[in-house]
This record gives sequence, C-alpha cells and structure tokens, in this order.
Amino acid sequence: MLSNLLTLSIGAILIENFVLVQFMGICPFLGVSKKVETATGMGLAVVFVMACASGLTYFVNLLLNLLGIAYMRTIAFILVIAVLVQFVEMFLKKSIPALYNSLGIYLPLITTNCAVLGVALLNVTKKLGFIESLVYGATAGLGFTLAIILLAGVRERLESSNIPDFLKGMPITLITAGLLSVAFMGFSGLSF
Amino acid sequence: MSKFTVALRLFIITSVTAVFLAFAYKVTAPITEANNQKTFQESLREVLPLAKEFKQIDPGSFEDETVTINSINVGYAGAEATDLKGYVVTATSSEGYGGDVCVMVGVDPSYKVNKVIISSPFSETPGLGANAKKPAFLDQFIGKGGNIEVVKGEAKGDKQISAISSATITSKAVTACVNASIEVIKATSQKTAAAAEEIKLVAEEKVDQSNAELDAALENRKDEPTPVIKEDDGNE
Amino acid sequence: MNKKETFLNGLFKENPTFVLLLGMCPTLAVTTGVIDAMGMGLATTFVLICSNIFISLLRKFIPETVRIAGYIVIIAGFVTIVEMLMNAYFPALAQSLGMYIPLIVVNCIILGRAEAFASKNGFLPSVLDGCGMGLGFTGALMIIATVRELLGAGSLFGLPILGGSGMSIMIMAPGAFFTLGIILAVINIISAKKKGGQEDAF
Repeated sequence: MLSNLLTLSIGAILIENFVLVQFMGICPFLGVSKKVETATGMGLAVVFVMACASGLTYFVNLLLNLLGIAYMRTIAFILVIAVLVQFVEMFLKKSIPALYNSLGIYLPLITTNCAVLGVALLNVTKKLGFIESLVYGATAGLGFTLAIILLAGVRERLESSNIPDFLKGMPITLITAGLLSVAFMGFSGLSF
Repeated sequence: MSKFTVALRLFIITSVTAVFLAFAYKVTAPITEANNQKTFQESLREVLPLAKEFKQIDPGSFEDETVTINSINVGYAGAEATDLKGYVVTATSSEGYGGDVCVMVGVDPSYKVNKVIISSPFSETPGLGANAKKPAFLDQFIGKGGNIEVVKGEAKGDKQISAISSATITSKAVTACVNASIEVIKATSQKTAAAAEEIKLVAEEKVDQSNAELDAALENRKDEPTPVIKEDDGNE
Repeated sequence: MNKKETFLNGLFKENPTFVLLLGMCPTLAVTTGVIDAMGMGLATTFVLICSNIFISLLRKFIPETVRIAGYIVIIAGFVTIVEMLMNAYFPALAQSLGMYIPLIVVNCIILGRAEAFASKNGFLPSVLDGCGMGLGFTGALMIIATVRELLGAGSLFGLPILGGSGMSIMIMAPGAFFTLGIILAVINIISAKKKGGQEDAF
C-alpha cells in the first residue's frame, strides 16, 4: 500500500507532472506565475482544494454508481468543486485576509482549473481507493505548485533581462515553460 | 430575491438538466452498446483471421495482481467446430499510466502470439503511451511465446520487446497483458481440449445413436412376416 | 457591434486562443494530431453555441448571486451530452480525446463567454458569438496541430507526408509550449509591423 502511494506521488509530482506533462492547470500556471510569492500562495490553495475535492468526489462517485447514474458524474463533480471553492473563499476571507487579497480573482478561478476536475476524474479512471485518491490529489497539487513556483522564479529573473519586444510576455513565458517541460522529461525513466 | 427563490431556481435548472441527460442516456446507451459489440466481433476476427466461429469459454480463476482476464474466446474454422484455429484473450492491466489498459491477444494453437491489438478502455497519454496502438510497437509481439520482458533500447531475441521511449509504464502494462494471456491459455487449454473432445463425442454419439435406431428398425422389420407376393387372384 | 462583427470578432480580433489566451489546457494537450484538434474544436464549439443560447435565453431567470453555478450546470449538461454522442457515434475520436472531453466543462472560453457576452445579449448575437469564438478556437487548434503533427510525426490527418517521421519532441509536451510561444511571437511581430506601418503613414 505504501509503495503504491509512493509510486502515485512521484508520478504526480515528477514523472507525469500535472502541468508540464499532462497540461492541466495551464491557465493559472501562465497567469499567476509573475511573482514567486503569489505563485506559492496559489499553489498551496490549489493543493488544499485538490486534496479535498479528491476526497469528496470519491464518495459522490460511490453514490452515483449506487444509483446507476454514472453519466451525471461530470455535472456532480464540477458542482462539488464549485461549492468547495466557495467555502474556501469564505474561509480565507475571514481567517487569512492577506492571502485572500493577494490571490484576488484567481481564487474563484480555481473552480475552472482543469487540474482539480482532472484529478477527480483520474481517481475514477485509475480506480483509486479513498486514501489513494487523497494522496494522489494532494501530490498532484504539489506538482502544480512545484511547476508554478519554478516558472515564477524564472520569470522574476527575466524581468531584468533584455528580451526582444516580440518575445515579451506570453511568448517567452511559453518557451520557458517548454524548457521546464524538457527538463522534467528527464524523470520519465524513473520507476519503483 | 429571497434565498429560497435563488435556491429554488438553481434547483429547477439542475433538475431540468438532469432529466434531459437521463433522456439522452436512454437514447444513446443502446447505440453505444451495439457499437461495442460490433467492434468486439471485428477485433476478434482481426487478431485471429483464420477462425470463422468463436466460442466463449469460462476464463476460470486466474490469479494475478495487476492483470484481469476479461474473456477467452476459442476460434474454430468451419461448421464442424473441431478445427481449432487459436484463442483470443482480452486482458486488462490496471498498471497503465492513465488507468486501465485493455489488450486483445490472438494466440495460435502452439501458444505463440498471432497478433496483439489495443482495445478499450485505453487512455494513455497522447503522443506517448498512446503510441502503443501503433503496429511498430505491437508487431514486436508476433510469434513470441510468453514470459516477455520489456527493455529500453534494442530488444534481443525471442523473450524481449523494446519499450516505447518515455512510455515504459504503458509498454509494461501491455506486455503484462500479453504474458498473462498466454499463461491463461496454457492453463485452460486442457479445458478447451476437453470441450473440443466433448463436441466430437456428442457428434459421434449422435451418429452412433442414429445407426442404432436404423439397426433396430431393420431388426423389427425382420420379425414381421415377410410380405409374400401372392399370385393375385383378384379375389381377396 | 453588428451581427457580422460579432461573428468575426471571435475569429480574429478576439481569437480566444491567440489573443485572449483562454482554454490553454486543451490547446496544448490535444494538438498532437490535426484530426484530434478538429474533433475537440468542433465539440467545444457545439457546447459553446448551445450553452450561449440557453444562458442567453435564461439570463433573466438565473439569479445573479449564483450565476456562476447556474452557468456551470448548463455547460456541464451539454458537455455530458457531447460525451454521450461521441461515445455512441465517434468511439475512435472519443478514445483519443479521452479525459479531455469532460474537461471541456472547465474550458475558460465557455464560462468566459457566458459571463462576458451571453448573459448580457440576446439570442441571435449569442449564437453568432458562440460560432465565431468556437470556430476561432477550432482554427487555432488546427494551426498548432498542423505544425506539431507535420514536424513531430511527419504526417497530417494521420497520413504520412514528410517520410512519416519527425522530431518527436514536437509531439511531446515541450513541443506544445514551444509551438504556441513561437506562433504568439510571430503574431507580435506581424502586429508590430502593422502598427509601425500606420505610424509611418503619418
């Protein structure tokens, strides 16, 4: 069981990183990676949401299968995620207003982060148990956090570099992300 | 707007959507099922082209941590159903990258792989594990006899195949399915031989039985007075 | 904006992929082949048009405080219908697009247009906006896929062209980032030249 969890975790963070290999969570990855500080905040919020979403959707899926309405899965999952993010928003506003303010509009946008719905659906496809789903959800979020912090680190450096006008902004960010992706390809031979 | 009205309106939207989906499901589910059946039959013929008829047999209990045997079909040629052409096994490995990897393996009567195709479910990464569907990878299995090992780089000899680069997990899952398929055929071939014997015996029995009936009828005829052909004197 | 402008807006001026930078996840994930890209683009367009229609028609009925949840339910409903239709009529495409079909629900383009346009406009403009944005998205996906498939696998629409093999890196993850980045850079160069040209005219 433990080695299974380890394989899942290393897979989610390194070998098949959710952002750099599986292309989930790209919008916030490109949008919130200007400063390392905001990137870290966003990353941690996403870890929390992904872990909770994995746990909740596990039970929702059991219920749907029991009632024989598996085709309602997409709707049910996204509604659960939307409600979860609402609660996280309200909670952060009351308890950690600094984080709430720095994330701004990107907090409700976690609902549309493909990685959250993606990991919930992957839990179902991979037929993971409850603990495994939680671990996979949390580590997938960690993979996202790792990628976004790395990109933010590079982008902060690029601020003071001499970049040709036509590459400024999105083009150079994408090319940087591509190079990060190449680096992560180095993990693909890893196995346990 | 009161909180109740808000909740009610949202509830109405959700319920109406759910009803539409239930309806769409009722309409599309049988079509999906029919398509699946058709594809299954076509795949059976693809991996074992020499066979004309397929008979499903019970896979029995095959113990393996990662591979489940879904079905075994025995392929025969001709109506006699005794000309064995091989076996088709569908096996699913839970060790694929994106979930289950389902493989269909055609095995010839000498337990060598005839052909391997990927069936569904299969949701490996496009461009990486999804390349397992290509003949360049699958043709490696043809003619091999099981216990195949996955190596990175050049495969040497009859017991190795070359993994798809940066898709080792998918390659291993497919290979596990192929190996398990051959194992299960070896294990159940006694069952198939017995099944074929049974069909033969039943056929022979039927022949024997009709021969016996014929003999009995002839016997009965012997006991009957032989019809004497009398001179027909017209008056009886 | 008149009707023609509404439609063309989504194709060029506010192209969701190259200008608004929305819907990045499928843009990078599904562009390994032109056929997959076209399938995903058309599926998304279908959902976009349908959801635009219903959100526009129901815009007075959906309460403001829960409008996002309302939009999501409607969008998710259509995505599920697309899933079912694909499984029934195009099983091969459904297999290759895999998990990205349900992920159409969280494609920022659809929610973005619902919020920015369909909730504030009537039936016909919403339809046109959906068509324009959807086709703009499909076109963008196909352009990226053409580059990636041609350079990465030497094929187009699955048919081998340049000797049937290429630089695998284009088909793999980094290729997606590089292709999009370079296309955006090229667009920047072109629009800078246009601006420069206009300034010179003065």
